[in-house]
Amino acid sequence: MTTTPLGAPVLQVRDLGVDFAVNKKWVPAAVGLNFDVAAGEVLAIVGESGSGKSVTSMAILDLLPKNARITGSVRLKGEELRGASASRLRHIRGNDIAMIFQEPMTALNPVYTIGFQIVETLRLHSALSPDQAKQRALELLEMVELPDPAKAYRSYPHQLSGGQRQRAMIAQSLACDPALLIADEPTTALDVTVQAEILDLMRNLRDSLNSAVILITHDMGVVADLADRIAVMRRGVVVEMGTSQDIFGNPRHAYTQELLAAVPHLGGAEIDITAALVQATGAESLVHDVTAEALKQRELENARRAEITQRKEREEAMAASRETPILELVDVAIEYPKQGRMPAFRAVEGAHLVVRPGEVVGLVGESGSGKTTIGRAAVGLLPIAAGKLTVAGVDMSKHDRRAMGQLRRKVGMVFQDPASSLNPRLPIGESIGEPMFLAGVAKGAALQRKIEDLLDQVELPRNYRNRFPHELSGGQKQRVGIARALSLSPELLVADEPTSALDVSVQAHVLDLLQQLQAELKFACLFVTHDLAVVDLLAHRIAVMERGHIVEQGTRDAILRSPQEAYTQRLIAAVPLPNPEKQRERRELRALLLEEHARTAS
Amino acid sequence: MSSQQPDRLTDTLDSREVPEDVKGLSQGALVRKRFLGHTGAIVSLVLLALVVILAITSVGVGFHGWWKYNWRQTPDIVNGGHPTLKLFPPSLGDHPFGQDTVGRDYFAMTMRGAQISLLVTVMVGVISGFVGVVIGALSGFFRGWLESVLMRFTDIVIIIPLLLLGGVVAYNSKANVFVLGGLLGLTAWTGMARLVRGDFLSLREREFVDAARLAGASNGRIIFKHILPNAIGVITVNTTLLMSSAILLETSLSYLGMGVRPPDTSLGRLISDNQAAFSTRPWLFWWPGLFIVIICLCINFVGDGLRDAFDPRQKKLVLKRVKEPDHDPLLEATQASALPGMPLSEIVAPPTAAGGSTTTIDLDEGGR
Repeated sequence: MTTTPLGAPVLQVRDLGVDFAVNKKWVPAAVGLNFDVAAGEVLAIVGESGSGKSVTSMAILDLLPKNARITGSVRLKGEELRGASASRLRHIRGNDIAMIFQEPMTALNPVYTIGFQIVETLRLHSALSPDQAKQRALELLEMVELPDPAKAYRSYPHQLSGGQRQRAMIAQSLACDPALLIADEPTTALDVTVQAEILDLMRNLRDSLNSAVILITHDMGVVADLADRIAVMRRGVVVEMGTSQDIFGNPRHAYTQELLAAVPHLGGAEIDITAALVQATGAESLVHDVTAEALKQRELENARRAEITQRKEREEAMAASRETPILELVDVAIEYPKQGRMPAFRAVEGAHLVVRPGEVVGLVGESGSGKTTIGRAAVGLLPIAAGKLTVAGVDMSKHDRRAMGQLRRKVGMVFQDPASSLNPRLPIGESIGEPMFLAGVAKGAALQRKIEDLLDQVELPRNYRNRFPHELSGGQKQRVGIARALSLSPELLVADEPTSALDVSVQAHVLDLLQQLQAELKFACLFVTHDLAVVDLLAHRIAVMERGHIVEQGTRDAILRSPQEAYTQRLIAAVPLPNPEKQRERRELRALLLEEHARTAS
Repeated sequence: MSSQQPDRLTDTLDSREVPEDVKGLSQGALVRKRFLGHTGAIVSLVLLALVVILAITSVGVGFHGWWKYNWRQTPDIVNGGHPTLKLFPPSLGDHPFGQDTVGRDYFAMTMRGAQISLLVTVMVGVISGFVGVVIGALSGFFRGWLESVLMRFTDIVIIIPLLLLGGVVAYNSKANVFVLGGLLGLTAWTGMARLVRGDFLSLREREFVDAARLAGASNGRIIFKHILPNAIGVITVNTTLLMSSAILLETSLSYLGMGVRPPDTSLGRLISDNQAAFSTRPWLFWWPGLFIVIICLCINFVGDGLRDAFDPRQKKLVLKRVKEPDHDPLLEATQASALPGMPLSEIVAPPTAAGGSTTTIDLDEGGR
């Protein structure tokens, strides 16, 4: 895995610098970059947003906006790209250098079929008859492991799932056998489970094709078992560069160490996920680094602890049943009403869920599983169709105005996308103060004082009160969102994927903050996410959702130590590990789980 | 937060402190600044203001202006009615724009015509802007049956042939410029309603509306405080376009003899009255035509400037004027001190899925 193929590098970058004109001044975005990528090699460029990693890849393709200035030299197979003619560059793009974008929905044209778009790429760059091109397109779709290539060929982008769309994107970028493939955050917009699948695919493709690959990401976990070499970028400068082994095994720069630490570690130090998974699959032979006996020992230990937690859980449940829950769902169904010819869609069915005071419950599932729907219903943004929903003593089964009014002071919500959840025309102080102002809690100077207190709580400077959302970074905006949700001291906080739009490093800080605040203010929290590792730190209990049903719930330890449902096991196995060796084991375990799943399904 | 863990390197954007005294610019201030930087729009705005002042003060509205004639007097014809305006040496003469066939001073008439045309423009802008925004906002925000009713009503208004209606009304009522302006205003709002509805449809799905609802905001508050300010770009721009098209509409109605009645006059009326004189006394045609062009172009340029100001992605850039950074970038970047610039993600943010007209990929304002 680590052997770097010999021979001339496909891409040679020397002294590459990018500056942007801002306020009539050149502001550096990337400075003095030097790297080579050889055929068959994967170079990962890792860094936070704003570190200049995407800018670098765009500079290679010369796709930067007009206010950018590129300096230095970029050589593709010995040919200098800087200063090459526009038509030559056009020929190179797509033919010699292909790119996989972050968001497959926006990168694919929604009004053409997948097949049409691949055939277009093929025929633009090579002399193929329409029939030959179609043949080749079908081969490509098969190569990216789409379940039914012929069907995908005829489909429009919206008819495919997110993962399938990303596969189609990859097929399109591979159409002309590019010498260099640039993947810009190829999995950031995807669920953890789908991310694992796409990473598998990219790994398989790397072995079968002989392309050089540049993988750009903010998540160290993603590159663990895919990259041969890693370059860590911070503020436009490569701070550390080395082989995957070096970077993960012996990170030298403090920044690299922090990035590694930011990757959420499922189960923490005390829960042995590998043992739990091995137990679930019975695949001892796949784990290499320990002897069979040691593994057996670990499994037994894990089983014993699982037993203990289960017993404790039962006892706790007995004790807790006397306590009134903050949020109680009994056999709840939630529907999206029919719109035009679209029939009503039942997003959640037969859901039972209890959140007790001061408890954090993680609601985990893939996109479309109905987890956000439950979160929105819990704060009264969606009516329920059947069953009984009680929130903080207010019966929400009938979605009426009075109940809503009572509820508002008792619940708060942190939204998924901080860019969309703050009104761009309101200073953030006003956004934070609005719930208090409308509830009549405080006015004038008293309100300003409360806003300052809240800003202190979320660790933002007080003078940010007069700033507008566009002047804040993503992490700061999400802190504002948290401050607003907490402004009325709610009994229940619903956090709807509050970190999925953030970098892994920022995510770590926001989660820290939430955990601190929860310990301090003791509110109950329903934490909705697609990534088990994210709730792992916070949640006391975890509920797993699949296709509108809650399939499994229990304490965090019970879920992680002995996941009963195959779906839960797959979710656990999909969480990436920032360690190449362990990640390989995990991947093989996951493949086994998927195989088993396919067998039982058929 | 940076005070707690001062040597944290990740999450640099979060820990990048901003000078205490810098106060954030509001969206409005940003737009104003960008608008003021748009030379064409500013020149047009000044020119338009000059035309308005000239039209009002020269012949007066209700009071007597500084010009010696008004549009009703018929002095003797001097020099065959030719314009007396001389550019070199500059002199106005007795009748700078000439005289019409019966001897009325053409400068006074043109100024009066400009007054009437501007009045119609403003009326159309205000009335159709208001009606369009209300109908668009209501149907876009509440949807359901209200939307169906309002949009079908809009469809009905769209199919009314305006020239015919104008003719009918003009013949049956006492000719009055207010009736004309009101009529045009009450029929020209349809495009505005559609646009505002479209903006509301996308804005109401944004999460900040949910957040406001959760905070207990009433529908009125959500519409006026949260959604409308975000749709203001579309509204302002469309209003200016409506206004310039209203001038042309008034001109065509008057040209067909359905607008303003004599002895009052408008720019369109002046042209239609004198169309036969084009070969013999062309100035009767050129002067009102020139003012129509000036007013329409100015309003359109102002609208253009507003559109650019509200859309931060439209940024013209003169690369030659960009200066080198004062510090060594490599040194700067490797140190933990703050960069002079802004978060990079904001300079070259990739197009995101949820982007209204107010997304802030801003090339001008980020650096502080």
